[in-house]
Amino acid sequence: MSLAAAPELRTHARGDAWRRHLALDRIVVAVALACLAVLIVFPLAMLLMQAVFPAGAVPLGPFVETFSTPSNYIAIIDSIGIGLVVCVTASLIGIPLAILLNRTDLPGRRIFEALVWVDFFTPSYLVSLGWTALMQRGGFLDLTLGHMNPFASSFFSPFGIALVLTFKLFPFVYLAASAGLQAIGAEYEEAARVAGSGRLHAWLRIVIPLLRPAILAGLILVFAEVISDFGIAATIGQQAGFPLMTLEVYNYVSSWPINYPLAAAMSTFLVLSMGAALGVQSLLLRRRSYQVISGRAHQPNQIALGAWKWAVLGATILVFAIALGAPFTASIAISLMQNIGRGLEASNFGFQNYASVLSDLHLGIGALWRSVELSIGAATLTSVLSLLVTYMIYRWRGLGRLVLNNVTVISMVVPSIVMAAGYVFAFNQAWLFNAGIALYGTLLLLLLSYIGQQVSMAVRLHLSGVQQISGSLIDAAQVSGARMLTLLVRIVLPLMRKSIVSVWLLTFVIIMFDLAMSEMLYPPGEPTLGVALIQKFGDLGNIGTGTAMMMLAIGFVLAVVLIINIVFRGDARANQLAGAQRRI
Amino acid sequence: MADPEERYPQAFVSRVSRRQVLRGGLMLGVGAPVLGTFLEACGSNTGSGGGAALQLYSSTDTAQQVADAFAKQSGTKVNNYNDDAGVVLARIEAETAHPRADVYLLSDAEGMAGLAQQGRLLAYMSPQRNTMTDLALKVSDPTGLFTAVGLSGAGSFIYNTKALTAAQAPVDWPDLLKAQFKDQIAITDPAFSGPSYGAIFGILQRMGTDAGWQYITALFHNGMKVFKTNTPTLAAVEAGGRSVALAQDSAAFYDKVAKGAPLAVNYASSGTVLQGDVIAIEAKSANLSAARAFVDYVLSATGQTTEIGDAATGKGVSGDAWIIPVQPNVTQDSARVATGINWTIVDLAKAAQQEADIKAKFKTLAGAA
Amino acid sequence: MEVRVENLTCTFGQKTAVQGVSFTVPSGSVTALLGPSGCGKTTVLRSLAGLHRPDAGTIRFGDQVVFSAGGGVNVPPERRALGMIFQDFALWPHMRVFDNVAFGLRLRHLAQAETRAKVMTALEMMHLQNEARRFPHQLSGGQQQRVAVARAIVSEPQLLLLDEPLSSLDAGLREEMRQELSRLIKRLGITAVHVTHDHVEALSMASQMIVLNDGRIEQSGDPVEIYERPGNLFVARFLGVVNVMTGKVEREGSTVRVSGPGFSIVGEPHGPINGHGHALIRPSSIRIVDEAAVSTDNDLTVQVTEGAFHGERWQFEVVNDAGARLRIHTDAALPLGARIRISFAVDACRVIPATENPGPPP
Repeated sequence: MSLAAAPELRTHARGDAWRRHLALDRIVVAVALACLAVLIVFPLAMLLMQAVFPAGAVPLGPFVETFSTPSNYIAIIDSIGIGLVVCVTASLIGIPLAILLNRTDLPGRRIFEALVWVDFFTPSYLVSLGWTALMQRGGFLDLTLGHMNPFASSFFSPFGIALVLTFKLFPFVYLAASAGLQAIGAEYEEAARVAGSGRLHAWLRIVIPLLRPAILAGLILVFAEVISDFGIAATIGQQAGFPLMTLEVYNYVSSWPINYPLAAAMSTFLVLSMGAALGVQSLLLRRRSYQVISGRAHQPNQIALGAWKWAVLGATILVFAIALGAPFTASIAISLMQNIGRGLEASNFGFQNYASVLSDLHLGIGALWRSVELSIGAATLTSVLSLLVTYMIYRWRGLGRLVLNNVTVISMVVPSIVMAAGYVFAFNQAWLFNAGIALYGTLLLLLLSYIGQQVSMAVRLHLSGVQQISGSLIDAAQVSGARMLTLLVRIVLPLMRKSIVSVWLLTFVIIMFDLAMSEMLYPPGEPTLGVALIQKFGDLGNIGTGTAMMMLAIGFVLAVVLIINIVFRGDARANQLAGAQRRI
Repeated sequence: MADPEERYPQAFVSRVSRRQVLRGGLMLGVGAPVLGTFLEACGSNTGSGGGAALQLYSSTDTAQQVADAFAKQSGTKVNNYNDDAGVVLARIEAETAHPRADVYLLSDAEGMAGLAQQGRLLAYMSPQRNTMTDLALKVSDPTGLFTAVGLSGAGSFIYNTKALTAAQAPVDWPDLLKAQFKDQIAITDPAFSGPSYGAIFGILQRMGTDAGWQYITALFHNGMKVFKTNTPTLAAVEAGGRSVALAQDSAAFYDKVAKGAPLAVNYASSGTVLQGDVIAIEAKSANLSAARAFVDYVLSATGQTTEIGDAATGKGVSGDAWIIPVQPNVTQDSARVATGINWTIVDLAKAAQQEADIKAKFKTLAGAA
Repeated sequence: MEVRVENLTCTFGQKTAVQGVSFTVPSGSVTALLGPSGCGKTTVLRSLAGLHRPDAGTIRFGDQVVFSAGGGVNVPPERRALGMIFQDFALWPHMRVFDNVAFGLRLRHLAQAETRAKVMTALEMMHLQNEARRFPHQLSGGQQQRVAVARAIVSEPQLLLLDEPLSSLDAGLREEMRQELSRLIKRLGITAVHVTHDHVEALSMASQMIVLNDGRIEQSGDPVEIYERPGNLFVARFLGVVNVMTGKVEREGSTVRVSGPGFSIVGEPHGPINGHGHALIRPSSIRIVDEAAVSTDNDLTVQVTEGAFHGERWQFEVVNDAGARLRIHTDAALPLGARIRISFAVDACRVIPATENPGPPP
C-alpha cells in the first residue's frame, strides 16, 4: 500500500492540489533548514576548524599559543577578573534594590522598575559612549568643572570598566532576585515570625537562604554578560588599554597584522566559558535546591521605611542617576553644543550638530539610514525564518526536533563578536570566491550575519509564544485538511500576532544598535550606526555630532516602538482574541 | 428573519478601519526598506569590478578631501573607506582572496611595505615622481610599488609647556629615562598607529635590537602609558596628565598649537623617524586608469595642497594639514617645523618583515608593565 | 465505513500507553472508548485521526490502510477525511463562526456558493444560522460546542471522532448536548468513535462500548451487556458504584454461594469458579425489607453508619456485625445507627473470579 493511493480518501480533494502543497511544504522546510545551516552551523564550524586545524600550523596550536603567551592570556585573566568583580558590585546594587522595590513602601517603585528595564535594554556601548562623553578630557565633566575633571584619565581604566558594567548589568541581579522574592511569597517569613523570630532574623535565616539559588543564577548571567560584552570593551576598554577577550577577538580579526587562528582559539575559549557558566545556571534553575510552592504565594505586607524613607529614596535615585542620568545627560548636553571647545556658554547651544548629522551622507544620516534599512530587513527575515523553525520544533518529533532545539539553544550562547568572527572565517575563503560566491565584504553578508545572530533568540521567544496556543487548535485544522503552510498562515500566525510583533521589535532594536557584527563585517566605506558612532567618539572634534547621532538614533527607535505599540497594542480585538483564547 | 444565506456575504465585507490602514502603511514602510536593503546589498556585491567608481582605502585624515577634490576635477566617483591604519591594513589583508579596493592611501609606510612584499601592489612610476623632493623619495619604493604623499616625524617629543620649560624638555632619547619623566610619558599604540610602529622600529634600528628592547623596557619601567591613537595621547599631554608624548607631529598637534594649547615639539638629536604617508595601487585593481589618475593627482602640486591642507585659507584643514609636502613649492604653514631635523630613514622592508614580532613583543612588555 | 484497528501499540519513551489494542468499529455504529484518564483512550483516538503515529499495528478505514507500521503507511490527518470534535472545542479564535466551519471546505477548493450552502446547512442543523458572523468568544459554551460539531460534520466525513466532547460543558447543558449529538449522529448515519471517561455518556450514546485500562481492552461489547455483566472488578467499578463482597465460592447447582466474614450469599456465576471470588451487587439492586418478611433472596442485617443526600436519592453506608460494608440507595433518609434488614435478588448478584486487579477505588 503506498502513500500515493491515500488521497482517494479525501473524496472532494483534488489530487494534484495536495501534491503541489506537499512539494511547496518540503521546499519551505528545506530552505529553512538550509538557511540555519548556512547562517549558524557553517560559520561556527569554520570557527572551530580555524582554531583546531589552522591552515599551515599544528592542530590545536592556536590554543597552545593563547595559553602560553602572556600578551594573549592576559585578556582572559582580565575578562574573568572583571567578571567576578562585577558579579559582586552588581549584586550590591541589585539585591537591595530588589528588596526595596518589592517589599517596602518606597515611593515611585513603578518608575524605578521601569528604569531598571530601560537600563536592561540599553545597548552597552551607548552607555559607555555616554560615559566617554562625560568623562574624557574635554568632555562634559571637564567643561562643567573648568577643565579640572580629576577622573579624566583614571576613569579610563579597569575601575571605569567595572563601574560602567556594574551599572549596566545590575538589572540582571535585580530581576533574578525580584522573581525569587515574588515566588517565595510571604508564608515562610510569616511562619518564622509566628515561630518567634524577629524581622531581621527571619530575613537572614529564611528569606535570604531561599533566595540564594535565584540570586546565584542572576550572578552567573552577569558574569556571562561581562565576558561576552563587546560594547564596553571596544570603547572604554580600548581607551584604557585594558585588553578583554572580546576586544582581543576583534583585534586579531580586524587589526593588522591579523591572526585568524588566535581569534578562533580565543573565541572558542570564550564560548566554552559562556557555555559552562550558562550550563551551571540552567542546572541551578532546574534543580533548585528548595522547592518553593509557587502560584498561591501572596505578597507580604510592605515594610514601612519610616524615617529612612527619604534617605533610601535619595540613594535609589542616585543609582539611576549614575546608571542612566549621567551618561545620557552628558550626551544630550554635548550634542547641543555647537563647539565643544567653547563650553557651557548660552550662545554655544543649538542644533548645529543635529543639522550636520542630517546632512552628512557618509558617517551621519547615511550610516543611520543604512542601519534602519538593514535592521528592518534583517528583523523581518529573521521573523520569517524563526517562525518556520519554531513551527518545526513545535510540531516535529524525534531527531529533527532534537537537532533544531540544540542548534538554536547552543547558538544563543555564542557572543556576537564570536559569531562575527565565524562569519569572517566562513565567508572569506578563497574557494568561495573561486566558486563565484563573493559575499565577504558586502552588505548582504552583514544582513545575513544579523539574521544568523538573532534567529535563535527569536526562535526561543516564539517557542514560548506558540506554546501558549492550545495544540488542539492546530490538530483541528490538520484534521480539517490543512497542510503545514496553510496551518502556519491561517492558524498559527494570526494567533501569535502579539508575540510576532514584539519579537520583531526586539530584533529590530538589537540589530539597529548592533556593534560587534557591524564592526567586523561592514563593507568598507559603508558604515552602520554603531561603526559610525565609534568612529565619531574616537575623535574629540566629532564627539558633538557623535552624541547628536546617538540621540537621533535613540529618538528614532523610541518613535518606532511607540508607533508599533499604538498600531498593534491598542487593538481591542487582538486583546479580545487573546482573552478569548484563554477562555475557550 | 432574513435568509441567512443572503445575509452571510455581509460578513465578508470587511470594514476598513483606520487601524488597518495604519497597519497597511506600516507593512509598506517595512516592505520597502526590506526590498531596498536586498537590492542595495546585492548591488554592492559587484565590488571593484564595476568599473566606474574608484574604491579608495585610506587611513590619512585628509583622504576624504583629496577624494572629493579629485572627483570634482576628474568626474570619477571615489568611494572612500577610512579608518585607523591597523584596521584598514587588516581589511586589506583579509581581502587577499578577493580585493575590493583600487587604491590604498595609508599613514603607515611599514604596513604598505608589507603589502608590497606580499605582492599585493602594482608598480606605478607616476610622472609626478620626477619633481618630488629627495626626502620624499627616501620613503618611496624605488620600483614604484608605493610613493610618499606627505611626510612627518614619528616619535617626536611633544610636551606640555606648562609642565616643562624649554630647558626641561627632553632633547634626546636617553632623557626619557630620567626620574623627572617617571609616569609622565605617553605613547600611541603601535598596533593601531603606523607612525608609532615606525617610531618603535626606529629605536630598534638606531640602537640595535637588543639595546633597543632594553631601552623600551626601561621606558615601561619608567611608567610609560600606551594610548590607542594619537588623539588620546595628545589629549593626555595637553591636559597635563602626562608631560611628554612620543607621537607623530601630526596636524592634530599643530592644530592644537594654533589654537593656543600649551604644547611644543622637540626632535630627538640622535634621530626622529621620517614617516611617510604612502599611496599605492592594488595589484588586482580592475580600474587601473582611474587609479593611476588618482595617484598622479595626489602627488601633483594641486593635490598636495589638498593633501596637506590649504594653510592660507584654513579650508580643508583637518587631520594631516601640517604635514610636509612631497613636491617643492607647495606653500606651507609657517608654524610647521620642517628643517633642522635629524631624520632617521627606516628600512621599510625589514620593518615590514618584523612587524608582527615587534608588535607582539611590544604588547607583551606593555601587558607586563 | 468500517474501521478496523489491529494490534495498535503506542509508547511514550519508557511508558507504553497502548498495548496491542484491536477492535472493529462497524459501519454506522457509535463506539465509545471508555476508561479512566491515562488509560490510552485518547492516544487511540489520536492515532485514528493521524495526529499520533503509533509504534506498531494497523488501522484500516474500510478497505483502505491508513496506518501500518510494517507497511510504512501513515496517511497524514489532512487526508483521512475525518470530522473531529475536540474536548476544548478548538475553535479558532481569530475566525468568525462561518470561517471556522468553512475552513476545511475552502481547503478543498469547492465553489464559493457550494461552500456557503454547505456551511449554512451545517449551521442551521446546529441552530446557529444567526451566529455565522460572530467570533467564538462572543458565543456561550453550548453555542461554541455546536460550532465545533458543525465544523466536524460539514465536510460529510465518513468517520467522526469525538474527544470527550461534553466534558467542558456544565451538567444541564451536557445532558441536552448528549441527546442532540446522539440524534445527529443517528440522522447522518456517520460512523463515530467517542472517547469519554463518563460511563453515563458512553452508556447512553454508544452502540458499542470498549472499556480501556492501562493501555489494554478490559471488555468490549454491547453497553447494556457490559453494564449488567462486567467481566471483572475494574469494569464493574468503572461503570458506577458497586458493592464488592469477596469470599470463598462454592458451586450450588446453577448458582454459587459466596461466604465471607459474617455473610453468606448466593449469586449467578460469571466465568470460571475456582475457590475465591467477588460478589458484585449494585446499590440500586438492594432493597430494605421488613424484619419479619420471608424471602428467597439474599438478606443481611446491618447497621446504618453514614449517609449523604445525592440529589435524587440517598446513599447510605451500612455495615454488618462482622464488619462487611455495603452501600445502598434509598428514596428516604434513614436514621444513623438504625439496624435494618436488606435484601437483594440472586440474579442481581454476579460472582466473578477473584482478580489481582482491584480496579479503581469505589
